[in-house]
Amino acid sequence: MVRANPDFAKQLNRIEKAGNLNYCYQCSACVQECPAALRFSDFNPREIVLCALLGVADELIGENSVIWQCATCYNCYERCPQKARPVEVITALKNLAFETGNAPEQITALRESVLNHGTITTLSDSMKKRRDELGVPAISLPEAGLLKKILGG
Amino acid sequence: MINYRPRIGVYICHCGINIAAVIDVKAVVEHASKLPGVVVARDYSYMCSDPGQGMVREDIEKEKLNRVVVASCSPRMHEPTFRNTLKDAGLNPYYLEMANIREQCSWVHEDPAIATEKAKKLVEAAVAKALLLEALEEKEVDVTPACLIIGAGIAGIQAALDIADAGFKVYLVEKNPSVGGHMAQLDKTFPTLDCSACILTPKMVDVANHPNIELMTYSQVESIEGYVGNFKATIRKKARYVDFDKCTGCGICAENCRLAGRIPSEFDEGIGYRSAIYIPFPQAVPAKYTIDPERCLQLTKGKCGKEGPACAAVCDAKAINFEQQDELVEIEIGTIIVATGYDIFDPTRKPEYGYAENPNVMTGLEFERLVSASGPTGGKIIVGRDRKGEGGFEPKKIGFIHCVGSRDKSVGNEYCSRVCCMYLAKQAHLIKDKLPDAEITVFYMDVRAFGKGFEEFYDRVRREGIRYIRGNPSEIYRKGDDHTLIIKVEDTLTGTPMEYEADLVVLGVGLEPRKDVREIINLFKLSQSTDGFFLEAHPKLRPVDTASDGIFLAGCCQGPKDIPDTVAQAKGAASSALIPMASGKVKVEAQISVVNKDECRGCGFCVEVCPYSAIELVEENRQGNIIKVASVNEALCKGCGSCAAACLSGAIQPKSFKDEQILPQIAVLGVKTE
Repeated sequence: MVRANPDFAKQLNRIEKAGNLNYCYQCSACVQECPAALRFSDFNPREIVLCALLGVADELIGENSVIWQCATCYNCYERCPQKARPVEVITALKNLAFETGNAPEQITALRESVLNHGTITTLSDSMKKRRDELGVPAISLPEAGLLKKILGG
Repeated sequence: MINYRPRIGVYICHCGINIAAVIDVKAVVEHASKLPGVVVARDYSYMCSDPGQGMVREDIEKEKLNRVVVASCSPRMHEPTFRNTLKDAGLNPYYLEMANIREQCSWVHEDPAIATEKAKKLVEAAVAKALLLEALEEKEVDVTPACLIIGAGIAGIQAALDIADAGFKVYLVEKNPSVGGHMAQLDKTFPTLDCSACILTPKMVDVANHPNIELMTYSQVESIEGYVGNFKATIRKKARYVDFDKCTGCGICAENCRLAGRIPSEFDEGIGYRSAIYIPFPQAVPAKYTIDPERCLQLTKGKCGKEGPACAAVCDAKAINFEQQDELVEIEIGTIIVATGYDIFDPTRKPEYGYAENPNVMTGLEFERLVSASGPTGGKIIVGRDRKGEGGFEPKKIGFIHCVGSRDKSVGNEYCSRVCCMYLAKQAHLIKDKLPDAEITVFYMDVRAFGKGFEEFYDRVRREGIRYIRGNPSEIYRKGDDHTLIIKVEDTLTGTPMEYEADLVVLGVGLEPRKDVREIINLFKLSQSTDGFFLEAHPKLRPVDTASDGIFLAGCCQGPKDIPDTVAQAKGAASSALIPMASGKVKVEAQISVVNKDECRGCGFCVEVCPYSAIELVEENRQGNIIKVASVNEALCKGCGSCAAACLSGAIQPKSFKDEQILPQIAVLGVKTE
């Protein structure tokens, strides 16, 4: 037996646009256009919104959660007739997962990379050379530590 | 200023706990009792109740009160109630002043101490104004015993018949060539499966033949002026290019029209075709032909074939007249009923449903015409025919989609259209009846079977083998080159994403306000609710009235509803319109604007801002000088005060809201008025 926790949804209100999940009437317009749902049978934006609403969210913000499969493509945002905005709910859940230290390692690593270097990948010499050959302008990276300061990281 | 000895009674209402739970009522009474002019101050649980009003009446008599202040709810709610109380006790009803300590105080403040202080101030301000109130006279005007009804769908038809049967004249104006509205397009009606035409056509014939009804089809209201009891309307009778009296309705003209079968029929929702000279449908009332001026070759190009217009040549009655002009008719009426109906949602606004690209994706209303015995296929369910009625196929797998354009914030329609659940269930049943082997699936989110016999009908269609899948399809598209459609949907009850094949998809399109709603609003000065439909005067207690006296609403122009609800509302509107007509007299507003002619400069600002066109400039002879001054039509003025706000010299002011009355009231609230 799982205990419902209606207060859980209130935590999501802190994220702008994520607080509309009460509007959801479970129509599933979000599901069929979702590339993640097509690829992963256990990923279902409608169910994620429902679980968030009921507060049955331990798994959603726990380790190995399905929320990290979201491609953030915003198809669900476009299709939702009730403006419940599943993608924003998922983003809010990701933030909660980070706060509780449950984000997957590789995501945490990406976050560190952005904070420290301003990119999600390190810029190798061969990549710089290739850009030069293709005539793509060189990338100017922000001053080390500046992003961290701005983002309060 | 005050030339009488004031004896004011102040009454503070608890409104159960609505007021008393936040405001210390006893403290307000205590404060009020010390105010100048107050001889009695009391509180009571419900001032509007019979004992509450009795208390006021008794005090007026015993304490010789000459002004009364009631501190309770909004005057919109109970000002008429307490005015009657004063009147019953022999006091002029305009010696009443109300302080709103509910909506403007207890309901919006949480801190009892602050709310109580505010309530004291509001009561004190009301007392300050009460000292300066004047007696006003209520006037009555005669009511023209005739009603104008706009729109001759089932709502307009029913209202017209009721008023005409009561013995009053009705002008029934319909913009289309025939009466009947959307109901005439429907095949069967839910949940009883009555044939729509069978129950409607007798009423259509009745409105045409009733001695008290003047039917004006193919006509539109051009302008309205006046006020309750005394409206004047100008009606444009559009040229039919057919002599109404000569036309026998034989139809030989339409058969011979060079455009016969080439023009999409509006009545058949574009799935059937008509001529340029046409009647919308066989049972049309009146059964008189009309030439479509936008399509007719003679009227658009000035030339029709080598031999001239065939319709004129074959008409034995010599009824065709290309020289006919629009006619303007002026009528006088006492009341007006607006019954202008609805439009269906345009599904091209939901492109994911593929309505524009696929002829076998159709609206519910198109399906009504397809399944109707009077429709283009004679009631056979055949889709994809060409214009000549050839080709096409009988669908085997049919999908019905709920909530297309309803309950959908992305298209701006938050509301439920109230009819789609049941009309789709009915249409599914009709298919099952005609094509027993068809595989029928209904895609729904919720089934709202709230009306009498609705749930039983929903049960019945499921027993008949119609499948209900809970899920809102995200996309409908054509698979390959044939007509097979794929419906992408998730069955939300099992959480399974699925693809359904179908060769006919019916979209349960919702109801929307008419596209020309703005014109009607401007004509009748109506208001809209947030959903775009016309706003009634009170959502519960005045559902057929509007903010304009003498103008009433009936049917779907006020909000989506099914046929029984529409008929009920039409009967309600008819009965409301009959009240002033039957009594023959109607009271007009007493709190109207008055002009101080000596102060008026004749600038005309008040004339411009008056929303009721109640003010005009008139010439006056001042010792030989002709000057212009404002003059108020007492029957038209509603006392809104727009003129007073616009007036530069303070010459025009509404009675009971004169500067000298409201400035002391404002001063009490601590606002500097100089």
